[in-house]
Amino acid sequence: MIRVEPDVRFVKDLLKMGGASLKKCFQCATCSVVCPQSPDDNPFPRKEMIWSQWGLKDRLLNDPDIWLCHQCNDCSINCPRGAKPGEVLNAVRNYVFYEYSTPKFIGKLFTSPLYLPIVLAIPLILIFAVLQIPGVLKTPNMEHVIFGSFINDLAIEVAGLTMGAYVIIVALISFYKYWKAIGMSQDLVFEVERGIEGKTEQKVGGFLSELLQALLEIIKHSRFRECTQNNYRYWAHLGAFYGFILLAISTAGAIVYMYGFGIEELALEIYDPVKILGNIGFLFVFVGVSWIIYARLSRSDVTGSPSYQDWFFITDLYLVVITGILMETSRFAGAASIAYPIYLVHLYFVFMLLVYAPYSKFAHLMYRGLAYVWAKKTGRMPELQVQEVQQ
Amino acid sequence: MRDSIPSGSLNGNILVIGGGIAGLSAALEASEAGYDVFVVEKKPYLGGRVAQLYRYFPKLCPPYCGLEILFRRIRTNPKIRYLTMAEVVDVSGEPGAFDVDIRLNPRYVDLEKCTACGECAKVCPVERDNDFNYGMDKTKAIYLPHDLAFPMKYVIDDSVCKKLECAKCVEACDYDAINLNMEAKTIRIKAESIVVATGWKPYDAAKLDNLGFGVYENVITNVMMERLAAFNGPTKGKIVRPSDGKEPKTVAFVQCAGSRDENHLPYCSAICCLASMKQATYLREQIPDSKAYIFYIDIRAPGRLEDFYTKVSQDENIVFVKGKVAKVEEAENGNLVVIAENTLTGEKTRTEVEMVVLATGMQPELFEVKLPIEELKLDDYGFANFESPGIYAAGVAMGPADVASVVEQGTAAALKGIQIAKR
Repeated sequence: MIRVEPDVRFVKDLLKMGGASLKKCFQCATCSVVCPQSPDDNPFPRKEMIWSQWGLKDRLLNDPDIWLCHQCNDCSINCPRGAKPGEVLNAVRNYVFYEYSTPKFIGKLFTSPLYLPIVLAIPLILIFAVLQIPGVLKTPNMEHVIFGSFINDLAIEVAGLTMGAYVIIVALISFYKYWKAIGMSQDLVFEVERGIEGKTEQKVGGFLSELLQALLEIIKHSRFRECTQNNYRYWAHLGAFYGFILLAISTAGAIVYMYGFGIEELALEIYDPVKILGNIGFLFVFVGVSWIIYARLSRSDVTGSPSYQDWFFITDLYLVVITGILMETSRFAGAASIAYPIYLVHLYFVFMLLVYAPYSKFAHLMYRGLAYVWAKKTGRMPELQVQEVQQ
Repeated sequence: MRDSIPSGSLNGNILVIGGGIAGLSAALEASEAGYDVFVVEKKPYLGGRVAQLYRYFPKLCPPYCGLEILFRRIRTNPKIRYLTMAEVVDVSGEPGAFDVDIRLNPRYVDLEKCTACGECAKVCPVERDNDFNYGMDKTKAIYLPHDLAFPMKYVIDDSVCKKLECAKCVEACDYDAINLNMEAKTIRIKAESIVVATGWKPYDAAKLDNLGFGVYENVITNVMMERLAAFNGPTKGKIVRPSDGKEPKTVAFVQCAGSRDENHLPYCSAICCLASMKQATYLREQIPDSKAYIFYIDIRAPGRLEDFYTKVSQDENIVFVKGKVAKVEEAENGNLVVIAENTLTGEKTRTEVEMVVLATGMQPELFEVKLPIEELKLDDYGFANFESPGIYAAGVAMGPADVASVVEQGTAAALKGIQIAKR
């Protein structure tokens, strides 16, 4: 006998977190067949749809398959009922962010737009508090825009490192909780009707070698390329992804300048390699995110309606790069009265993006990465269909 | 009782639009109760979609048996007059006194004179796709609609006929029955009430782009399967697949091909489950070492029809798979691979079969062809959904239904119709 313990509240939460259509599903399994990402054995997302309807919270939250989904939306487009499995799986992923968050009350803040004022207030208060420390806020140089003359660079570094340490610690705790949870699902044969419990076969590969494989696929976005509908997402996400990496590299470059070369007042010229890298990064993120926002708004019937989590993450990222480029242009234009206030705003959005990384959609990086490794270890990841272009 | 421009008075009590099984039932019931009835049929023969069926479910008896009886009742009943190749072009007036304008499209063959000897078709040089067999074979431009057509008269398809340029058939006809100068004409019939029994057509399977109809030769539809099995069909009743004329040993029936699908027909077409089960028995009967797979979302066999499901599912070579086929791919030798998730085992199955039959659903004729009747209200899908004195619907024009139900609906419409009429 299989005991089904429906969690009605969980169903209601999913309905609110982006899965509003889940009850329309009548289990025809069109989705599992048209999905380009789904394996042959226990394919998704049909089983996730019935688990969602039944409120089988444990199964869904331990189910790494939800991360093999890249929301190509082939399922939602072909769904005969408008049940939109693509959006329901996105809602489950949003729930995962909450379920495995540490501490959970911060994760809770991202489950509903009702908490947005609190989400916005926390970084504001923290930044305000740091600015109160004597010596942090200085009288800015109004002739040449040098951001270090406005807010002490050291304060930013200390605050940033502290935040970074916090983010890494809570992310590692979530990482561990999730890895344990999906590990438990290895012992389950998913199908309720089958009435037996079996084991998913483990491949020989070790964690590290599979992690390497997974990273390689993430870097190449090979899974995204499998999408047949909405293949714009491959390019848009690729742009945002590499743009973000370039920005991270240029940030590291700036730190090297300051501590490696002892440059105290950092205001790089436009032709400086680090600046060039950063600007290319900006361009990539800006184009990628603009494309995503445009496609999501103009063709939401095909691309899927974004959930609150999607909006929060993408808007914040967008504001980070927009305020960043405004800082740069106002600096080059010598508009000090614009540049300094924008710098503050920019810091606010950057801080918000990073400090909330383990709770917001940003965390998809971590959960999806783990699920990739698990899927590779268990041989659940289907062969790539789209041939890599041979050099 | 006759089909030509009716002589005598054009006053009737009841006008039935559609000469299929529902319309004929309504017409017969009303006329046998003593009322004058006109039946207007667009096609050159009566009997509608039922004439194209090989067998009925659940008894597996031939529909022609019943149709023959209906036709006999029509022939011997002076109160029924029917018009083939006729279309309603205008309706005016009010309940109890409708004026109905009807266009009689030219048949080019005189119904009084034609003996259906077939000499004309022998000399006719032009071919056309045989719509009666859903395009699976050809007829000449002058043709008998089908072997058991009622009326048993030839007709010319003027979209392909070269008419006076050719006129070989005129020469060949010993009875002087062919008149290539025939033209459409409009007549006005008075009626006190109207029965709308315009029926249905199969949903266009080419719109189901995942399922390969029109791309892969061996993907056919359920209505085509009826013609393949029918003794007067394109293969004289031999079930063979289109690509190479081979007997298919394995056939997949794909349920809900377009039905219960927001992107196509959002409603259940009511008959496809039973039709596919019935067709699986055709296959099993004719090809003993064959195997049928029925891929379904839910098997819908309401009421007593459940027994038929039970009977069919006892054949171990009729395999039911719960899961909708969402993709059909071509394999070697014209074989096909149907892909579905078996939702009872949680496995994606790839089943190679020699032929695929799509259980396409019913779309009301009224979805595209609008009748000039103001009171006639249609729902979003084109089904007649209204209450109006003097105008009544019957059959699949109202909603998907099987033959037994539409015969009852026809009878019901007749009863409503005669209440308005004054004998």
